[in-house]
Amino acid sequence: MQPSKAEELRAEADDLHIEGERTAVTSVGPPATLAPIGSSRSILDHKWGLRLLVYGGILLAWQVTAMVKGEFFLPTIPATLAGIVHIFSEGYYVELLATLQQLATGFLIALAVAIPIGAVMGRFRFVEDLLSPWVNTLFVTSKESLLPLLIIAFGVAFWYRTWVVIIFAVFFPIINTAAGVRYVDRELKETARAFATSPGRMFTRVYLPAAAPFVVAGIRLGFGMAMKGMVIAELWVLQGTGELLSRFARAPRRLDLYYALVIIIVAFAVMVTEILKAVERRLRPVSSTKGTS
Amino acid sequence: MPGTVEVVNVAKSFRRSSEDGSLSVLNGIDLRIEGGTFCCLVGPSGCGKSTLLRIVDGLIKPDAGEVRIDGELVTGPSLDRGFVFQQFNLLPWRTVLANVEFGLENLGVPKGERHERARKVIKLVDLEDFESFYPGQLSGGMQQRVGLARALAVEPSHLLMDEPFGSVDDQTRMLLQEELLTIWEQSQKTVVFVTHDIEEALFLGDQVVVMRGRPSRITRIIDVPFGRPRADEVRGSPELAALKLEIWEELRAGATVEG
Repeated sequence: MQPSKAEELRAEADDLHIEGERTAVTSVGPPATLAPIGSSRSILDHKWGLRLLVYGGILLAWQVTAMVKGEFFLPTIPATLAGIVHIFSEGYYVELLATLQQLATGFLIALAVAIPIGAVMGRFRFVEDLLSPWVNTLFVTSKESLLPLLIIAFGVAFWYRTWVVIIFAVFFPIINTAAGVRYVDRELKETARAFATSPGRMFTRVYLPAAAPFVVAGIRLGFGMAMKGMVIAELWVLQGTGELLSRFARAPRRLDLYYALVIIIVAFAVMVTEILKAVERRLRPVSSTKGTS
Repeated sequence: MPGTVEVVNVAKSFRRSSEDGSLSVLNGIDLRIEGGTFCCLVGPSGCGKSTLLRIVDGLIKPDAGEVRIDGELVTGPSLDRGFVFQQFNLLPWRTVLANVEFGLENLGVPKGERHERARKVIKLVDLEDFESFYPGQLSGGMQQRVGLARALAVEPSHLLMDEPFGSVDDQTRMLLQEELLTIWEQSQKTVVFVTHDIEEALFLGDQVVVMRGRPSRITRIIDVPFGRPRADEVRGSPELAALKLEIWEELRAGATVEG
């Protein structure tokens, strides 16, 4: 009830923010303007410099290895780049598009199921008690072990592959949404109640917006699992993109196309993940970035 | 005058998490607040005044007794009562404008009218230039103005305030007190204002209700003699100092080390 020590500290922290964000964030070290003069700054202090060094080294090692061992073991970088062009000009991308369609369908179904379930689990203790043993058990289960069962149930076509994606993708968004909703500030809940918020609107106006950064993080992690499920499902039954990957690795071996396809898949996954990360950052509550008092 | 609050024989206990048994915070509370009155509840921290305020709002159900407003039994929170919280409790993902609109959304007010009504109260609390700011970008005093605007936007007949100025610095507190009085004097709502600051209670209130003990009882009700509109000079008047001392002696008589 009385202004506590914590509040005083918070007020102090606010003051720091007003002086400039940098001071607050990097309070461990001296401010940037006082950085050591021209002495110990090396390439290791720069994130991008470091990346250039490491990635450049890997690419160089790749190219040298490929040139020494020959394309039967490892295609050169130029050959792989030509392979990417090939994937599109030879029409292989059609298989990839069909695969991505299954991914999108499965992933969207997974989210449509996971977010409401997670929200209800986070909100109601008895739902949590009821469902969490199942969710936790399936979460740590090797989903690959369910593939034969899914083939029996759905065959090897569209719905089998979609189901694999769902089963891989669904758990992270459930668990994260539940955690996000569970830890919504008690004060915010009380406030919403004081303003006569109906139980349904509590979810849409309070719980889910408050938990949004958690939810999006769950979506991002779930997407990674969905990609994994997509590739494994097709490799298992040798269909679609999985069949291409398998074919390129067998005789007549086309590792240039194999690497090209892998790079395209990884690039797609990284792109989506980065977009979701950006969304996550935007959803974080705005803290004081300007001195406005 | 409409808006009369009647608290009848209210009792409330809380379960203790670590020990057996329960902690009785309120017992046999009777209080009548006439409509249009500015009523301040004062008492030491933990005396149950915030609990009583929440019972009046319907946020907490009493174990015994009841609260009636204009004769009608309070069964839960209502948008006819605006609540202002000590820690502001703004929704951090909403702008100032959207925070002020929160109650209006629950009332089902259409968008255009909602904006208009919200802007009107935002102007009332002098925040026109900060409509699109987020709470985290505002100082404590400004956040509490938003909290006040949010409560006023639904045009409630009662304003319930839980130590609303307890978390801001002294100067801001005094400014906010004066602004609150200006706004209140124009609207004549019934206000129930919880505070542990005796001077604040005397400066703002028509009626000061002193609570103490555990379980807590109302030990004194003081009718504040200062007129309206209340002049700033009241803060320095000998009458206020005398009343403050009187209330303090009342509270000290019941003070324990624990309290």
